[in-house]
Amino acid sequence: MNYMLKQCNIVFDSLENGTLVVDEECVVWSWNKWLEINTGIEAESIIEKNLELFYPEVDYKGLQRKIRTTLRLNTPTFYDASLSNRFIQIPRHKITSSLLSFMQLQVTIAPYIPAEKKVMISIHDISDLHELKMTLQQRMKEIALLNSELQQDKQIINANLMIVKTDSGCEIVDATEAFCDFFGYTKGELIGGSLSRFYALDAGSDDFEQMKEVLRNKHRWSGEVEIITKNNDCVWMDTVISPFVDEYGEIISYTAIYHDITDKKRIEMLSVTDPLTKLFNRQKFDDVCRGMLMRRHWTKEYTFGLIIIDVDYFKKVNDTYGHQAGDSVLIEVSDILSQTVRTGDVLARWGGEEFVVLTPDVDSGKVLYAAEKLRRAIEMLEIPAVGKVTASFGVTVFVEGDTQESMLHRSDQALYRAKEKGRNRVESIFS
Amino acid sequence: MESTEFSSDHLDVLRELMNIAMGNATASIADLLQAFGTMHIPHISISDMDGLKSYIEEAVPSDQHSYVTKQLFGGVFGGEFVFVMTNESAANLGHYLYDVDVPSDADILDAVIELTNILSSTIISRLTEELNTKVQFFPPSTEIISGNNLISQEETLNYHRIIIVSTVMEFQSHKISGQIFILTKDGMIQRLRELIDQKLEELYA
Amino acid sequence: MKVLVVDDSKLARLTLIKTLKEYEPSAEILEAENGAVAVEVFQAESPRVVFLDLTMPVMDGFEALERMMHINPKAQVVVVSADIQTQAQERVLALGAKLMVPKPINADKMLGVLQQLVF
Repeated sequence: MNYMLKQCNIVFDSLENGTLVVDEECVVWSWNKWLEINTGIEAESIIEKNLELFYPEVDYKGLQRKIRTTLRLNTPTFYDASLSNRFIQIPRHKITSSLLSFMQLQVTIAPYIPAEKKVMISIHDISDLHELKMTLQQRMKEIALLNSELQQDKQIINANLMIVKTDSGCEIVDATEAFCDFFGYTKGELIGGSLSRFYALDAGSDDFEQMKEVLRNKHRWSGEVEIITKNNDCVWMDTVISPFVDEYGEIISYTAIYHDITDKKRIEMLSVTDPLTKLFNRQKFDDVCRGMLMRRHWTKEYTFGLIIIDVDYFKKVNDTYGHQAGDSVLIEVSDILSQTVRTGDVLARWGGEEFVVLTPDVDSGKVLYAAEKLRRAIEMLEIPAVGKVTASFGVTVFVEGDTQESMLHRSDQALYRAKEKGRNRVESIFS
Repeated sequence: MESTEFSSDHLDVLRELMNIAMGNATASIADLLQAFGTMHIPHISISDMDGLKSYIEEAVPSDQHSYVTKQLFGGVFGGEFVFVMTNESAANLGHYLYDVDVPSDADILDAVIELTNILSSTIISRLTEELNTKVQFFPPSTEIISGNNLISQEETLNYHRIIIVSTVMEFQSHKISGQIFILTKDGMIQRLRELIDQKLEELYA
Repeated sequence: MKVLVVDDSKLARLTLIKTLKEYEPSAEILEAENGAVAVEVFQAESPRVVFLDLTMPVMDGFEALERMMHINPKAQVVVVSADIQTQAQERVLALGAKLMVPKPINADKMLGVLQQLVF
């Protein structure tokens, strides 16, 4: 080994990176302390030997080409730092991460003694940097994946869920395609308009006020609302409206999510409707009656009445004109009763030729008047192929301590009395 | 600011120096590839970031993957050397240099780095030699980029003036070609101008 | 003596003319910035010597050389080019160029060239 190289070795040994000198044939002429420690190969054993004896896996054709280029151009050449090691492998001892079991090396081949065809190869451990890069790439991949999933979800939501976003003043700022399609509007027609114009509810109605109150208090409101489409169809929507507040607690926007429940509503209606007369059935009557009994504010002057109506001689109609005629009598009577009861009264078919009416907010006089009005309406009725029919009425009102049974019992008794007294008349038992 | 203005004479000098540098580089690569390279006239322009973007968009195919190697060089005259090769060219290069039918990704990457090394050191060394200055090379890095979006999107990346020196390296028989960009910015432009001025003074003396 | 200097670079032409004038101050210099112009001037002026670049716009040096040799096979064309590939040299010599000199031209190279030319 020449003197100069020996002098240089002292410098190389103090470097905090791997430094070796090789010639064009890859014979090693210098091997610094860093390399001794990190590779476990002593300088004595490798110097003047070919690198290939120790590292047969290195691509020597490529290495020699790089060395020649370095010498010919008298300029440094480099290994690509971004790929898995193509130079010698040096084990790495990081325990807290297992991404790299060998050092990721930054390898530079620089001209050293061109006359002797010798180059200096310096090796820097850039594992930490590479590890970061790998971690970053991994995260980027995860983010990309999440993003694409989000994008997919967004598309699914956009195409399938009816969602409207409004500003704090309920002015529409965005709507999903599903919403636009369902209501027959383009996005452009919706944006800037008021959300409330779609509601069938009166702006001043109780339900509407209650909804506004909930939202004003920054709470989520949910409920069933009737909405009008562009074609003026009424649809029932299960609705959730959520206010979004900013960091100061001020409402910045609302999101309304709609779910079409028109079919469900239809089924609900069918379940409480008598198929022949389209009046409420007995089950619905029971529900309403239970509700009325629950209300505790009834007084003698301000109570609710129960009227039982029974069509007179209905069996005779059936026997004489047939069941179809009988049905048409029931339908005609139902229709005239529907038209005659007050708004708020609940009319139902009890069964057979019997009907019941619940009349809230009355006293005994008013309920008698109502019953009399109904009796007269039926009496006036002209039914095709059958002619005139009449009905008998049994009336009562709610008194303290009443149950549905006790009320039904009294009105039934009153009805019996009406039948006894010659039919087509109103009888009452009030207590 | 007037002193940083480039006259057509300055551009001509730069183009001619680049031509000479590219001649050396082509000869070196021709040696490596055992093939004859067609030389093209270098393009020189002074631009801003948007101009560079649109220039790159025109020069680099948008519908392919490209191996983009970037290498910094520093000194009195410093900047960035960018070499762009399409996937196909890079594969052909890997195939040739590593003498295998289907080169691995690592083979291709290493081949691209090697070629860039020769190109950058020959071109920049020759260019700076003509300008009587020295240069330091930094390790190159290669990435595979889809399309021609070679420039980072950060907003801070807003140099006012950039000199674009670009040319094509082409070895038709091996179906290997690449686009070379030498980019330098703001302060370096002034220095480059001074170096060229010295050159012009020598000439007209 | 008429000398035609063909190069797209003004700098290259100036450098060449300057070094040439040091040895041949009396030379009458003609200039062309591409192959096509060069062929026209060559046809019209019949210069004794042509210094020709290879990489040029419009018409490159290879084609210009071929045409000049066709017009006057005895023309003395010196190719001065940055293209220093062996194959490029072989090609221009085969086309009839007298000499090929790598760019950039300097006094030593010019002397070597002039010694091989016939005036």
